[in-house]
Amino acid sequence: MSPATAPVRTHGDLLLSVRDLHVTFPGHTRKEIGTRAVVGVDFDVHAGEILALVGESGCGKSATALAVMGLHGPDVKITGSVEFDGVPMVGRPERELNRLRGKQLSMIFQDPLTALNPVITVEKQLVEVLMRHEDLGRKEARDRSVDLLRQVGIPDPQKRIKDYPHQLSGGMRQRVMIAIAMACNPHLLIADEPTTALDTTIQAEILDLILELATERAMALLLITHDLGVVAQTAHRVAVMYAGRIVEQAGRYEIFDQPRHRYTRGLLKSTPTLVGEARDRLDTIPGSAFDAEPWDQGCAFAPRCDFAIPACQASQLDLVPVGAGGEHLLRCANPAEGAEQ
Amino acid sequence: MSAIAQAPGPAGQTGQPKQPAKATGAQRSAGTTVRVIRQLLRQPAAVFGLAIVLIVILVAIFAPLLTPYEPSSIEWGNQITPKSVPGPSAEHLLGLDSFGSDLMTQIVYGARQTIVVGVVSTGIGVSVGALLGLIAGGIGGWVDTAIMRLMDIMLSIPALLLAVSIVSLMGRSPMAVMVAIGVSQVPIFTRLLRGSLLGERRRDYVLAARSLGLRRPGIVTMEMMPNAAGPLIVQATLMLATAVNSVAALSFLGLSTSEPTAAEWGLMLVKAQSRLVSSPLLAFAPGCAIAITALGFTLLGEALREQLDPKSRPR
Amino acid sequence: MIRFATKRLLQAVPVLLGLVVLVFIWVRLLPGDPARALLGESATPAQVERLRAAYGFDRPILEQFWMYLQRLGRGDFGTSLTTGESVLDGFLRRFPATIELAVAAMIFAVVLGIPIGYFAARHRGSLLDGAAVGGSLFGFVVPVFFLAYILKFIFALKLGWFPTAGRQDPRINATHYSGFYIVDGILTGEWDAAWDAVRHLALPAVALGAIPLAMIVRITRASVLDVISEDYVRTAKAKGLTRRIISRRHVLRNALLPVATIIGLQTGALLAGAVLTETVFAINGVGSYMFNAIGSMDYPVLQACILFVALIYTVINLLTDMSYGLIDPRARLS
Repeated sequence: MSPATAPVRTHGDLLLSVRDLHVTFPGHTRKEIGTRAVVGVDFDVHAGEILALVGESGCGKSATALAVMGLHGPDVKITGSVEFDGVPMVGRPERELNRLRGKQLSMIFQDPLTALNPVITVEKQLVEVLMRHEDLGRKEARDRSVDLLRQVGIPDPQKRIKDYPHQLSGGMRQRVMIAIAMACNPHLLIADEPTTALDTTIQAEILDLILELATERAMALLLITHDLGVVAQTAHRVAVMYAGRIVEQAGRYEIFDQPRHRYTRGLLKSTPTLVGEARDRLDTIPGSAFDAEPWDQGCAFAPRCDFAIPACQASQLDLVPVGAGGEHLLRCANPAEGAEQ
Repeated sequence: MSAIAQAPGPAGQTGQPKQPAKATGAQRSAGTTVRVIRQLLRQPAAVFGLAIVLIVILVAIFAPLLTPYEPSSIEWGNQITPKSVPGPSAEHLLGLDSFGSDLMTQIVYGARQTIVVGVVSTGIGVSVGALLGLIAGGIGGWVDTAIMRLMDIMLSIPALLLAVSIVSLMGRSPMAVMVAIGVSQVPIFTRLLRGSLLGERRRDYVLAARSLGLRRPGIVTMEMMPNAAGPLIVQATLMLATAVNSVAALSFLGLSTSEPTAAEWGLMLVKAQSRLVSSPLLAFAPGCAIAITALGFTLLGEALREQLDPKSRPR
Repeated sequence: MIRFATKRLLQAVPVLLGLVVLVFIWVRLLPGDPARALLGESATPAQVERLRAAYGFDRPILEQFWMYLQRLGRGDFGTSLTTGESVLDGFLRRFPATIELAVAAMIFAVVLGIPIGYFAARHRGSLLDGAAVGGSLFGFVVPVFFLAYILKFIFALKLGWFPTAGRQDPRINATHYSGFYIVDGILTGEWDAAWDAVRHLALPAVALGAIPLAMIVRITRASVLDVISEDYVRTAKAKGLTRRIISRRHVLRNALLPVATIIGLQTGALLAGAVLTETVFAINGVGSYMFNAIGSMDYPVLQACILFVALIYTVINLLTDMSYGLIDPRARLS
């Protein structure tokens, strides 16, 4: 593990800016209201920075990532603004998005088995992205592909490049996926639960690889995960999402040392492998996110929260700075105080 | 992994609103049947298909009440000339056929013939096929291999030719047609049932039943069969449509009956061939009757598939 | 790949062997004495006696089977009851007509079916999609020979756009080498003959191709719908590939796997369907040969035709499986 190798550069140039993002999936019938997966998300990612987006499954973190990439289907409704390098992404014609995707920003998905095309070779899947964005001939693209495979730690890349995805192990597949995503040295890499589908034994290896390559090439990384253990080692900043909104956002140490939102605290308490003494029993947050009303009547977490007060359900809750420095943002009517957990 | 990380959320995490999971567990109770029917009635295509099927069945049952004439009566034969047959009139709503029978009456009684042959032949196909599939999937081993090889061989002969060879063994008769069509359907049902039994075998509830000490035949009949029944019902409904068409094809080949005036849609279609130019209605009426009946079963079958077998639906 | 092909080939052997056994048994089960069944009602007792000795019907059943296999090995499939001609000759003479018809029908079904299915899926819920789904239902439910009637009635008899029957206008006096009339016309440079053969083929091919067309449209549509929601298609988009490349390399290639199976299965079924279509359009092919054999209970012909058709069907399915192995690397493993 190398948590401290990355230089903390939170004040790099603004690379990605997301404001008031809403993502709504269509209902099954025409009358039915769709599922609101993301309901007003704001965050920034600066050049070279690692931002972790944390939350339970279904909290809208993947939907946010797909919206940034412009990968939602045509029937998914997206409003708000996503600016990448100063250019708006939402509502941009597919043709222009295609010039950016894979080149300026790229993405690693959760399950490399389904994310790689089963019927074409690793070589083709790598070469096609290089030939699309870099001005390379087939031969050069092939050589570059072998190099890339070597860089992501695939042994005997000359031979492996002829393989089909099913001939590789899970870890190797994800390495291929990483090679594809890194092929054109993007400015922003989005990794959506990149280690969740893998064996626990290789999760750390893959995560280290992503971090190493991202740092080496000064890429910004938007890391999406439900696993706070992952976050503890990697991120510069952490944004915690709940039911489609960011509820707390702060620097890595701040989040772990002084979490203010009750949900963040719950998440931290229920994470087993955290710094500090081992506990006999894991705390769980009562209820489930499924019950959550997405923010129509105040805080969506209030029904599950032990510290809910009337103000939670009445007021319009905004994400506001707390404490000194203005780096710690919080959306809570009755926040926790102090450093104790 | 933490407990809350596994909690289901309000939206699919990957943004793919997937179809509802197939009902697991062995309990496909009467409540399920009611639910399936209710769901069916919400789909216009299903209602349309069901309506066609019900109408054809009602016509088949009440044929004598719907027409004043006998189906094979040729009492108006003297009105037939080599060049023409009388067209529709008040007495004969669809006119006469080339033998001098009332066309409407033949169509009405033809429904009876079609339903009987379709149901009996598909019944043979389902019951024999399901039994073989149950034996193959339930016992396994060399019995399984032997049965499935036989099915492979049967499938290597196109269904129509298989039916033809069976009729030639039994001699041409309506019974032979039913057996022939039924037997040519057997491999489809055998494969289907065996496949779903093998698929179910590894499911958790079967493992659970085994761990409780239930014996294999008990598990197969009590636990696995109800889950395999859905696809079987769906396939049977769809095969009814195929059977309706197969009967017509065997009639065309002159194998269904030796009675030239029999009220049988396929036969009527064959007889109409020589008068296609002068009296197209003679071909059109039975042809449409066959197509509409087959359409009814097909629509119903596909709607059922949507309900009972969501995995395999061609959307 | 070679190992996969060999393995698949070996799997087909027991099926073919079983088929021969089945046909052998079938003859023995025919109503009445098998020798008489194979000779017809008009045979003299002396003829029956001679055949019985020749085929060994008085010997033990296993020996009979061995003799049967030997006859098959020599290419002796018996003689037709009605014409006295060797069944093999009769079959081979008619075979090109049927192949031409089946290939034309399949081309019609594939060339129309895959694009229609693809665009229906890509524009799901549109008018085109509705028409494709509705039209394919129509293809399923209408009896093949009724469709043949309708086409003949409208386009040949009423409109006169196409000839009503046969394979070629006899007045053209075309030269035939191979028995494939279109190919012959092209090879000899007799363009009018080739064109006339195409016009004769059009309606039967459409009638015969209707069911495969309906199948291919539906399977392609369903398969494309499945594939476009696959993760790897999303990956392809995330790579910034153009829509054209995504469609061709990532969607179609995967979506065509199930379509290939259906094409194989349907090609076999076409040979059986030819019995109906060839009869309506008076094409003297294997279909008509079987039709007449059924009508006159010409068992030797029927027996041989079933064997041949099943053999061809098995070979086609074998080829389909192998093509599947070519497209999908995963299939080679299992």
